[in-house]
Amino acid sequence: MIERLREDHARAEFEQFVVRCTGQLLRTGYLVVWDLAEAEDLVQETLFRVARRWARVRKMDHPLAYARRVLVNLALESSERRGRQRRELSADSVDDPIDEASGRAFGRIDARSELEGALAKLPPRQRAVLVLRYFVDLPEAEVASILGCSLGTVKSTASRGLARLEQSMTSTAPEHAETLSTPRSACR
Amino acid sequence: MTQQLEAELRELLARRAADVPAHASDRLSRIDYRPRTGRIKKPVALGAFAGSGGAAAAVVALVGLGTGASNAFAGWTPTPTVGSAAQTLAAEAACKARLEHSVIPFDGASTQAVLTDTRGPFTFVIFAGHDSNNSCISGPSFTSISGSAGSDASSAPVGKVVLTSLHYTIRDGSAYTLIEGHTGSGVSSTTLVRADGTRVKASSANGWFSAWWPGSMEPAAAELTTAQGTSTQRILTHGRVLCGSGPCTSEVSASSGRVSGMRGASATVSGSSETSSP
Repeated sequence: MIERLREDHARAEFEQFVVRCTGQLLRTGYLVVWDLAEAEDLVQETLFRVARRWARVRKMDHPLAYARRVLVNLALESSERRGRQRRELSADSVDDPIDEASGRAFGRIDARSELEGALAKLPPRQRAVLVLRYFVDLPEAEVASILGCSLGTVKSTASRGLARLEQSMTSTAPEHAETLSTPRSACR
Repeated sequence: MTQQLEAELRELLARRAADVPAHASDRLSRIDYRPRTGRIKKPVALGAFAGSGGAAAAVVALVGLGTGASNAFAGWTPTPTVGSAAQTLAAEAACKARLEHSVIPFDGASTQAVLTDTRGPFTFVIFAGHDSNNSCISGPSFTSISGSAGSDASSAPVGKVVLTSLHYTIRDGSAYTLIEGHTGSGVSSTTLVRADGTRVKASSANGWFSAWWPGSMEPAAAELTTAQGTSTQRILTHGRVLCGSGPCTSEVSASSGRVSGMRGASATVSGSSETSSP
């Protein structure tokens, strides 16, 4: 009987967690993978995994931090997998972030769109670091913990990401995505 | 400049995050995450006989969609229907076309349809080839393809069935569960009994059986009809780690997003699947 009550309580806690945190997870996932449908899939899988380990996760100080770690790492694994798939697809069947031809034809693309386009073209790990730092507002040490890398790696990754964004704001030449050729960082 | 850039970045991220529609989050919040199923890499033998023909004569409840069911599955039936030749041919053609243009392993040269399951407007097809096994659901609201490399040479013992795949996926918040397996000789009919006792009759052909249903309810047992009568095999999936001995990561559904323009597409590394609107 007591066991049953405990189970019911844990279930209720998990349901409250889902209601409370799904939105945050979805927004974070969306910014990391830059695609809502994919983010929905990832959040769904994240919550399945959290549910499977809820007995342990519920005792943590910050269950959301655990879920966020699962989500971000799933997103990065997914991006790497998608990178491999892209190689097998023709270039015109993937990604349509910026119509460079029309950009040239109509002159200046406004800076905000340019920044957004540049952010979309960042390697997923760089974007993940920036999202965790500047959207979720996590300290660098926590970002390092989520990504399984050193504090120094987080700092340098963020610095490189910002530099690329800055370059996109000042350069008139269109940039090209380097997702496929970017070597995997030291983060796991 | 860096501070200004950081401020603009914060603003941009916040603005883009605000684009996430509330209904997307609500839909995810409503999913029941507790039933945990996944794709089984290796064939899983079903449990020991747990019933008899007499037990099967009890009240049988076929699963219904209910009023809250998603329109995505409107027309689905718990018992296979007889599809027209045109429906079957159109589904097979559509499935093959999708498979040929996907990243999913598909051996088009040797592949043949070995089982077709029709439920109202939905046609489910299992394709078997020398180097791949694929399945596909084609319906008015969605098309889903999946597959894995290699041939499936497994078989089921006489009078029993073996489960080869239990696939659970969600399309725009609408879950459906798909089960495939082999039937041993002597099995003339297979009915899946779900966790709540409702039943879904499987289609059988060429040593295969298959059934699918809307929702995430796990199958609990298979009722088998043989010349000796009806028997029941339990399906042991609850609590099982379905990812096998390897890391679950490799089996996680991961959306392909824009790949090939298929919004909501998903793919797995081994045992891949994709879903998209037609």
